[in-house]
Amino acid sequence: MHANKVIQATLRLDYDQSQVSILTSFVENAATCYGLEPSDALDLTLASEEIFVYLCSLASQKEQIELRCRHGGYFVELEFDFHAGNFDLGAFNLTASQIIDTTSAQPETGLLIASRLVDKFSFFKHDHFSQLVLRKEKSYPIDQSAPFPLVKTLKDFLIREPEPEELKLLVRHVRNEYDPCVIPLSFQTPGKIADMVQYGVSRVAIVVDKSGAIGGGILWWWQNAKLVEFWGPYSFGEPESRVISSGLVEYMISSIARTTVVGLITISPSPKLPLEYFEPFGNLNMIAPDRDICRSTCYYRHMQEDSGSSVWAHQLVKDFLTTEYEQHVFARQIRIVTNEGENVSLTSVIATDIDKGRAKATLKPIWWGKDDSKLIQTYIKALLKEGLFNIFFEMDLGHSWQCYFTPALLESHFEPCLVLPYGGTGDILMFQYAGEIII
Amino acid sequence: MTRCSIEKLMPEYIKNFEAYTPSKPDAELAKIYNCKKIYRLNNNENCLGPPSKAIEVIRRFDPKRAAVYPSGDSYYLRLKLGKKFHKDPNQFLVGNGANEVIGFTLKAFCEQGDNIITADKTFAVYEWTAVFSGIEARLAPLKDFDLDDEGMLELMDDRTKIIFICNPNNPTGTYWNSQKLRQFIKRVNNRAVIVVDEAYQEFVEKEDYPDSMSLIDKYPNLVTFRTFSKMYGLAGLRIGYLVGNLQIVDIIRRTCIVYSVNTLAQDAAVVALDDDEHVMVTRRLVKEGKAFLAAELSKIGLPYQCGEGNYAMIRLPIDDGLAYRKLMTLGVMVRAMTGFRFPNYIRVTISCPEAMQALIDGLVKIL
Repeated sequence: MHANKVIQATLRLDYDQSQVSILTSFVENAATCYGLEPSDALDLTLASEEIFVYLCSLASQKEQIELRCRHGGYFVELEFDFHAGNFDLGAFNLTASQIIDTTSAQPETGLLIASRLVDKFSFFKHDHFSQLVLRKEKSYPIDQSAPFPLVKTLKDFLIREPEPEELKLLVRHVRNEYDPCVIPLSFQTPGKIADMVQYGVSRVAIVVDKSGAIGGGILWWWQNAKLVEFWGPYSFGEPESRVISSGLVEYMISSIARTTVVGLITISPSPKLPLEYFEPFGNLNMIAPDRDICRSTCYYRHMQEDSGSSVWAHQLVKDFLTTEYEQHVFARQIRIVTNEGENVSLTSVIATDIDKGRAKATLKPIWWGKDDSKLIQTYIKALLKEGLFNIFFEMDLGHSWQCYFTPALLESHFEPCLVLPYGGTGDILMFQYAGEIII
Repeated sequence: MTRCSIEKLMPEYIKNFEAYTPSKPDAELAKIYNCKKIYRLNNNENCLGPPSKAIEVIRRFDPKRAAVYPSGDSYYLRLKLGKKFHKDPNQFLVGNGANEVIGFTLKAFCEQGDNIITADKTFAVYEWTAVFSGIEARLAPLKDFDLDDEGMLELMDDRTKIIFICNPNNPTGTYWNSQKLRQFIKRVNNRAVIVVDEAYQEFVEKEDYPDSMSLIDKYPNLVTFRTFSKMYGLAGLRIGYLVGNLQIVDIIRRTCIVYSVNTLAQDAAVVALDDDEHVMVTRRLVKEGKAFLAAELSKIGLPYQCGEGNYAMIRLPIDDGLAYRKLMTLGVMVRAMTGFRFPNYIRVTISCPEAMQALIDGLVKIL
C-alpha cells in the first residue's frame, strides 16, 4: 500500500464501565483533532461508547482493551482490539433478527446503534484477537460548479500526478463528460478526492500538455494490500485519446508493479479502457442508493506470474470455478469439501463490511454452523432494509470450512459472480445477491 | 490487549515490502500446467550449460570436500581473476551470486536517510535491496529504452551514495558506450559510488562497449559487477563478483559475508574463465537465435526490443501475465514484464533453436 506516515493515538483501558468517560473524551478529542466536524466527532464518540459498554458487559475484568484512533485523511477510524476468547462471536451477527429492534434493551443493540452512527463498520477475527473497526468520514461539500467547456485535444503531453487544484479540475471535467455509472461517488466531492490522494489512500495520474491543459486522468485505490481497484481512464478529445488512455493505464500499472498488489480490477469500466491490458472477469449489477442499476463487466489484470495452487470448493460451484479457471488459464486443483456425518456447530457467524456510500455490504464468514441458511436470509432482509442493495459474500477458497456456506447462499439467491486469484489466504469467490429487493 | 507483537517489531519499510516469490521447480510447474517439457526462457540462462572444463570439475568433485568449509574469500578464484584481468587479487570480492555483492555494496555505503539511484525499468534487485534496507531508491525513467544519464544526474543530492548502471540494460539490451560512461563518471565527480553491472558483458560484441574494469584504477568511485550465472552457465551454483580499486573494495569487504560461496562454485568458476571456446559458441548461438526471432516476430507482426545480451523483449496485444499462463500450458516459460514496469511485454532468453521454435509456435497459438 502507498507508504504514508500513520498518525494515530492509542488508549488502553480495563473493561470497566466506570472508565467510559475516559474513552469518550479520548475519542472526541482525537476525532476533532483529526478533522471531523463536531457533529461527526460526536457520532463516532457515541458509537465508541456503545461498543465499549457492550464489550464491558461480556469481558472479564482482568482483560484490557486497546483502542486506536487513526487519522486517515478523509476519515477517522477507530480500532478496538480485544481477545476473542471471551466473547460469544454470534453477537457480531450484526443484523441478526433478535437485534434488529433497536428499542430493545439487549446489550447487542449497542452494536447495531454503533454501526448506524458510522460510515463503515467492520469486524475481523485474527488468530489471537478480534478487531472492530469503525470509520467516520469527514463531511465535504458536494460540488455544484457549472459545467466546464470541452477540453481541447492535446498534442504533446506528459503523465504525472496532479497538484490538488488540477485534481479538482480533472474531477469536474470527468463529471461533465462521463456517465455517472463509470465515475466513483467520491467525484461528487472533489475535496474528498484531494484528501484521499494526499493521505495515500488513492492515487491519481493526469495527462497535461505544456500549457497545463488536462487531457485525462485515472484514479486507483487499495481495497486491501493485494487488490487495487481503479476508475477510468478518462480522456478528452480525439483521436489521441487512445494513446492517452494507454499511457494512463501503463502509468498506473508501473506504479504498483513492484508492490504487494496481486490484482488490479475495475468494476465499472470506463468506455476508454484499453482492453488489451485486462481480462473480462465476470459481470456485476451495482445498484445506486437511488436504485438506478449499473450493469457492468469487471476487468481484471493479474500482476504476477501465476505458479498455480489448490482451492477448496463445494460441489455446487465446481462447474463455475472450472469454467472460470479454464477461461482465465489459472492452474488450480479444485478439492471438493465433503460432509460425512461429523459433528458441526449449531451457529454460524458472519461479519459485515458496510459501505454506505456505495449502498454495499460484504458478508465475510467467521464461523460456519447449521443455522447458515436462516442467518443469511436474516442478513439479506436487514441489509436491504438499511438500503444496502449490493450484497456480496466473500468466500475464501483457501479455507475449506467457508465452502460449507455454498448451499445456503445459492438457496438464498446468491450467485457466484467473480473469482479473485489470491484475494485471501487462497482465491476469493465472490457471490452477489440476485434475489428480489423487498423492503 | 495488544496487537500481535511481531508486527510491532517490523520497520515500516518492511511492512510495505512484498517478498519476491520465485517460480516453483520445473517438475512442479510441469504438473500444475500439465505439460511434458518446459523450455526455460525466463531467466536468461545459457542453454548450452557450463563450459566443458567446468562440467568436468563438477563431475569430479570429491563428495568428502562437502564436509570442509570452502575458502572464505574465494582465494584461488581471486588469484585467477587477478591474473586474467591484470589486477591485484584483493581488488576482487566474490559473492553468492552478483545479488549478494549488491547487498555488500549497499551496506557498506548507505545508512538511513541516504538514497541510491537507478532506472525505473532495469534489473530489480538494486531497488529491492535498497527498499528492504530502508534506503530510498530514486528511479530515473528510461529514455527510448535506454538509461537516462541526465535524468540520473538530476536525481542526485548530497545523500546519494550509489548509482547503479546495468550495462547492457536488462531487459532492454541497450548499452552506454565508452564515451558516455566516461562522461557520466566525470560528471558524477566522485560524489557517489558508481556501480556498473556487467552481468551480460560477455555477450556484447560491439566495439564501443566500454570495459569498465579498465577504468577502475582511474576512477576510485567505480565498481564493476560480473557474474558466472549467464555466459558461464553456473547459475545453479550461485557465484558472482565485484571489482574496484583497493580502497573501495577494502570498504565493501567489511560488510562481506565470508564462506558464503561454496567450494564447487569456486572450483567451477576458476576453470570456466579459461574457456574462450564456450564464449564463442554461445555468442554464435545467441546471434543466430536473435536473427531467427527477428524474422519470425516480423512475420507474425509482433514488435520487439532486442539489443545486447542473450534476451529480447516482445510486445504483446494481451496482458503479459495471461500470456505467461497460456504459454506455460504449452511448456514455454517466459518472463512476464509487468514486474519490470513494462506491461504487456514478455522477456525471452535467446536459447537453442528448438526452444525458440517452441516460443514462436506458442505465440502463434495463444494470440
